[in-house]
Amino acid sequence: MSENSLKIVVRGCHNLAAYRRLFDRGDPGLPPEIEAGLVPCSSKVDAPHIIKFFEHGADALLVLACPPGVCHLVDGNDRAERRVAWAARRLAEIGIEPERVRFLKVEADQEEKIDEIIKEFSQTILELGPIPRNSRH
Amino acid sequence: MPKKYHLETTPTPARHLAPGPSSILDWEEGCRKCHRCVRWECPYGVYLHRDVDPFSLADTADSLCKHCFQCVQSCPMRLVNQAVNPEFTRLGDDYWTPDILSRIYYQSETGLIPVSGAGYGGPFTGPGFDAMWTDMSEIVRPTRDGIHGREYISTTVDLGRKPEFVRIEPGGGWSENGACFVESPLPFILGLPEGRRLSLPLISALAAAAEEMRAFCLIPLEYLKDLPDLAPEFTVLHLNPEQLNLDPAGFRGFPMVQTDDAPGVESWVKKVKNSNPGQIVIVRLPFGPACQERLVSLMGAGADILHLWADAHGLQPGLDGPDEKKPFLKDLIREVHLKLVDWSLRDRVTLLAGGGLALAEHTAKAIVCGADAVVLDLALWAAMECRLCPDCLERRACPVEIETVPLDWAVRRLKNLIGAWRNQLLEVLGAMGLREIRRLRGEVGRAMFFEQLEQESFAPIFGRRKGQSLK
Repeated sequence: MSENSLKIVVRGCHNLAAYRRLFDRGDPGLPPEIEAGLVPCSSKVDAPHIIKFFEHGADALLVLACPPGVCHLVDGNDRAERRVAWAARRLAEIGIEPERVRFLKVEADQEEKIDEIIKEFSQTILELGPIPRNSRH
Repeated sequence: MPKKYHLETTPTPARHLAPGPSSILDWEEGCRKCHRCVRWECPYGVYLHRDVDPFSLADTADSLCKHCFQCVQSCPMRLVNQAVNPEFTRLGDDYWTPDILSRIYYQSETGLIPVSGAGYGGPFTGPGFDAMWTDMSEIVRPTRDGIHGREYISTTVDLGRKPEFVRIEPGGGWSENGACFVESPLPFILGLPEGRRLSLPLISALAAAAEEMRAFCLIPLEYLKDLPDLAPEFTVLHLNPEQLNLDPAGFRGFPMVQTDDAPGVESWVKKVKNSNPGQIVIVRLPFGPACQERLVSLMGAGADILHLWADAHGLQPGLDGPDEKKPFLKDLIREVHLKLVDWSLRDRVTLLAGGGLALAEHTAKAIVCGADAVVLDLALWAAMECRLCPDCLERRACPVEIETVPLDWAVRRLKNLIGAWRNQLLEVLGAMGLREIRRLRGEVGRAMFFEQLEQESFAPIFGRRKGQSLK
């Protein structure tokens, strides 16, 4: 991967059936800049981890959570929402645009359009471009 | 005393952490900040070294956790939870299960036999090799050497055409009539998986590991020019059908040479045997109804070893339909072995079996069914961290950068896996009361086959079994 290529991290709850189905055929078939993964609950994405994602070269993060009220861990999606918002504020303090971090509770009517949601997010990030990094670090 | 064969293993950590079976959900919200947090009491120090893996961006705790549940049980606010790791369940496929792969990773890392803990909680039978039970009766009555006798158990196998009789010369000397074989201290040949990426570092690692273990390794002819340090005495040279018109004298220094079965391959076998008299010729062909006729023809032409292969799941290749209906490796080996016994040809040829060998016990079971030795393929790739992605060749980037494995690291991982598997074979042989693996070949008295037992014991009482039949 070249130095200027994008790295968009997507983490989604495996209880989101439409998102999980992307992985049923092995490779999710998403564009190469998207690094998609499954987590047992959206609350697995912790604030320090989000900061680390960016430290390790991510240019954007999309967290997909279950709709309100249906989280298998009762309030895991709400916890995740607060953490992502907190991490986005911390990242904004060091100059990383808040649009690069998005949290989405996927409603039932959005489920079938999950790959469109991911592609639309990646389009937004393509327009923003990669995060300029100081090569000394 | 002759020097005993020993495989040195060295702990070799993974380059890329593999996902573990469970994922830790460690919630900070509501924490009452105990003076001594349960997370710092973790006996494995999982939380002390917790980080995000820079390559996979996964939580390292999910890979290092040993699932003792101490943290889950001890947190007074119940803030630490564990859930099934969905990335773990994505590993491998329905034959190379996540459990099998994680065991291979463990053995390659440590060189130790995996211990599954307090007893076996799974079913007594299943498809494939799980429908075959080995007789371990001696384990409750150790032989006179007990466990300490295991260093005297031999895993050496003969590869090639063994002498049927010894010819006494008129002058008093003797000669082995038509014998052409080599000894391998291991019943494994390091092979190459079909449909996976090959690269020079991978082939170099296999060759170097084979040399260190004094075992044999398959090397494609096209890689030969890039391997100046290759030890020819441990190499099985593999030729493509297009390379068969090359002069056999060019590869005279190699003890074994292999090619795939094709129309007219008999003439090539004869050509090699005439040109290089001491060289062992291997012909590789798929299991199937036609293979038995081909075996006789190839043996007649002079092939010393027949390498029969099944697909990566141990099933007969080239068949359509559901996997449940396809014959499995154990039955395929038995069929060929028994046919050769019927034709009184068995001892004139060495049978190698490959495909679907994922555990050490599969090796022992394949040998019980009639193979002389086995050819490992995907298990070796898994030792070098292969995740067995279904679409290896189409993928844009290997998730574990397998094409660029460092030589020393890969050699140690391969030796660790083979060492752990050999140790398990020694346990199996010891528990059977056998002193060498050559005696295990075709020794079906040391095994029970579920289908056979069911037919003999239960069918007279209950009639035909309902539901889905086992492979």
